[in-house]
Amino acid sequence: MSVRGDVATPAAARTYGTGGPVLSVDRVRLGYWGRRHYHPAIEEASFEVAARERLIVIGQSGSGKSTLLKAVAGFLPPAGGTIAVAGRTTLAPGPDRAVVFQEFDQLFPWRNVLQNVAYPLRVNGRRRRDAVARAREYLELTGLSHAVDKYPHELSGGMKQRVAIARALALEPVILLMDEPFGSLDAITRARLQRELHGILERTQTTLFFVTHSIDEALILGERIVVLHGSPSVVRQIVDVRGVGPPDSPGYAEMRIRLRELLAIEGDEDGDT
Amino acid sequence: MALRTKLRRPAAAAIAVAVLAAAAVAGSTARGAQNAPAPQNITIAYQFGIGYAPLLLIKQQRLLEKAYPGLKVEWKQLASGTPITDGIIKGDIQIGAMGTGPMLVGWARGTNWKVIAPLDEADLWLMVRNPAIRTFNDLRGKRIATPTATSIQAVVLRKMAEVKLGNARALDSSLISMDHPDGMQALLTGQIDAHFTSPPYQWLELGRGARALGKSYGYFGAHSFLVTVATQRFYDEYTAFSNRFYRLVKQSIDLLNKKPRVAAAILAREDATETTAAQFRRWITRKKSLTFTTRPRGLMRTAAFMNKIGLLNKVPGSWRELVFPPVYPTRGS
Amino acid sequence: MATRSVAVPARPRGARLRWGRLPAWIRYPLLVLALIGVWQAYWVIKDPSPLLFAGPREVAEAFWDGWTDGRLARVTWTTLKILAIGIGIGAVIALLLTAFAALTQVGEDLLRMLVAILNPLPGVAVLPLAILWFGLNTNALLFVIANAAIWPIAINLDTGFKTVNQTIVAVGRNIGLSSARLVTDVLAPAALPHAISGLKTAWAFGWRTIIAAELVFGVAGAEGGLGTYINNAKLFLQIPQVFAGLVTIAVLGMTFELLFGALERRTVVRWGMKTSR
Repeated sequence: MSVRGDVATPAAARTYGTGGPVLSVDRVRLGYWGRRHYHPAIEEASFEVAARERLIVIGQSGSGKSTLLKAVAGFLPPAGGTIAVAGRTTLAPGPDRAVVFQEFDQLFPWRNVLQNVAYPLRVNGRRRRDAVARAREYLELTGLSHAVDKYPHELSGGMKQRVAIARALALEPVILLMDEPFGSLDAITRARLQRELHGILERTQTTLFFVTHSIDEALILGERIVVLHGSPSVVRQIVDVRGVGPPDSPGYAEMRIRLRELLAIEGDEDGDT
Repeated sequence: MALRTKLRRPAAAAIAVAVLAAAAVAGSTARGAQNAPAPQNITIAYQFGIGYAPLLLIKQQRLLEKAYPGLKVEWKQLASGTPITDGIIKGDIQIGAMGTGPMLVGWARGTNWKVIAPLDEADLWLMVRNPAIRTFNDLRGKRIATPTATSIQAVVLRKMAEVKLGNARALDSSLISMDHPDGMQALLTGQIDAHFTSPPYQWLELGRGARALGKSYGYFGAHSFLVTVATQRFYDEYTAFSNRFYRLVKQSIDLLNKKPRVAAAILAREDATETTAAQFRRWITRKKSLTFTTRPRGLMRTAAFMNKIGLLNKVPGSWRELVFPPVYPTRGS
Repeated sequence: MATRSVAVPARPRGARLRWGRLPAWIRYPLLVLALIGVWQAYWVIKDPSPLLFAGPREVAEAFWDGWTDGRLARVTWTTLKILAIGIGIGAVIALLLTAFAALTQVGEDLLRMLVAILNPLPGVAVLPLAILWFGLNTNALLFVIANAAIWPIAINLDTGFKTVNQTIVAVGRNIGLSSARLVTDVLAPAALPHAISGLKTAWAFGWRTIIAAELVFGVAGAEGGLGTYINNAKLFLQIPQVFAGLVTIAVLGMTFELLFGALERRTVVRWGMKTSR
């Protein structure tokens, strides 16, 4: 079952039929326990992600966006409200919400690239040959065919993240969760991976939930942007950026300014937000 | 890097000198020869058991000090013959009391020692406690304790195995080394199945429910048990002293044989295990299995057998080669 | 790629000395030969008693004889067998203890306490107690070896489990691994460098302990192990054999170092996971 020919039946629609959002976050309150105190991260957030949609959550550091992703992934129960994925209020982490983390060391160092992508498939019931074939396809999609035998410690940061993306996509998750996956990369690699990811997602039509603090990244990758603001944060606004033009267009610049205002960032014109 | 290269030559030279100096220091032995008619200090070592009684009498009555005023005697009681052997080789011990087994082994390997005065003959018993063990065949695979691998008991056990089982090494896989007190405790608590020991332990074990499966006299005839040894070097330097020592041993043995009550009283006086004089008297009068004498017996037979089973690589031509001149008149074997 | 000619600075002084320029496979054997030379010189010049010392040639002969007639091989195998089984038992117990510690707080406390109390005990110190409990047989030795092995392995494994990269664990849960599989497929390989480190230490301790224990154990007639061989040789005043036994120990020690190195190269080094040691 080749990926490339499958654009007509994207994973999201396949999984549960038509209608209903893939992800529904309803009046969710989130926080975590420190040593002595409870730290509220998100005061209240509500939004939905439709099938095949690419939703970006942006906010400043400490705005609870990573916590939000962890809650969606199932690592953290919400303190209030409900999180529903494909209609189910899921609790435990699972491959239907595959995650790409920010850290480079999210690959298993004792497996090579191919095994890192194939192993999760085998865990989820695929037979070996099937898993390997599928892994190869997704690795080709992410441009890593030449590196399938390498071990993670032999790869550059950008390549490692590509492997992580391939692994997550190969699981054909209901929704792909990405937690600032390019945050540790240099600007050039980062820009390249953003473009590549955009292209890949267009092909696979995967539903995306992406967290970042970079406005540009949000604009390049996203269709709708949830802006978190405050501490503890709330959803200040959800902005639809589908019509915004390419980065050199005036529409883009306007949207950029608008988002900056929403994020209430002062000064610092050259920062990467 | 610069420091390394600059200091390299002098450092290397210093290290080489240090190594050579250490080797030289290690090499110099502390064996100083004493050029006096009688030694100034002497260390005499013995082990546990009633068989050492002649020495104990010499010790208790301070006979050496009386014969040689000014002589400092150090008496050491050690748990086995091994440290005594080591001590004599190193020169820390001048006269050591041990069984005939270790004596022969040392003699054959070039310790250059000989018997200065035999102490006794003893019938050594192989004690068992388990009623299920009735014959030597029952001993196969069971745990048997002997004093050390070189002891006379270990040798006699091989002889017993040869006679009873056709193969001297038949019981080898179960041999364990234990000194007499530990062995006795192990036998009585069932940790081992057989204990090849010596007086008085075999008598004590007899009294506590054990029985003798085999006795050494039955396989070797009457034979010597304990002897005192000294190096040829010591004898050559202190010939008069050595002869005197022999006479004192003989004197003590006479006391044990002719006046056991007196001897027992002397032994009981300083005994650490609080054995009574009456108990001592009973032991030293069990003539059938323990005889105090300065006549060595069965040495040649023992050496021949040890050689046969590979425990000894050299056999003496005559028993005289194993003893010093004072012992010659006893007509030993 | 343009090549430009660059003025080459003069070599630093030290490198000109011959020794540093020789490859390792020449340097080490040369040093060994030099040491043997010192040994032979001592033997010849100082002429110590053959009851206390032996020269290289006698030792080499005793070593050769011991191996060709199989005796050294048999005793070495006996010792290695006991060591391997003892360490195996120790490893299993360590694994259980560490797993318990990783999963519960009381397990963690228990492990810490046991380590504090029992780790400092030298293996041989436990031997008399072991003989009392298990009798005068191999079980006592196994107990002593296991005790020597458990604590280094447990300590290292515990550290290994604790320092497992949490991101990987999150990935494991994310892809749907059950708790059991999380342990076997993620925690275990992640802790492997530490496990190997612990195993190396356990081996070193165990090796020393078994030889010492055999010396104390005093198994006489039966062949026993390498320690017994050495002790017996000494009893019978066969000093070259004593040295031959020691040489065997040294050679075995080096062999295992090499084996462990090879194991590491195939696993943790290949995976870029080697911890500093």
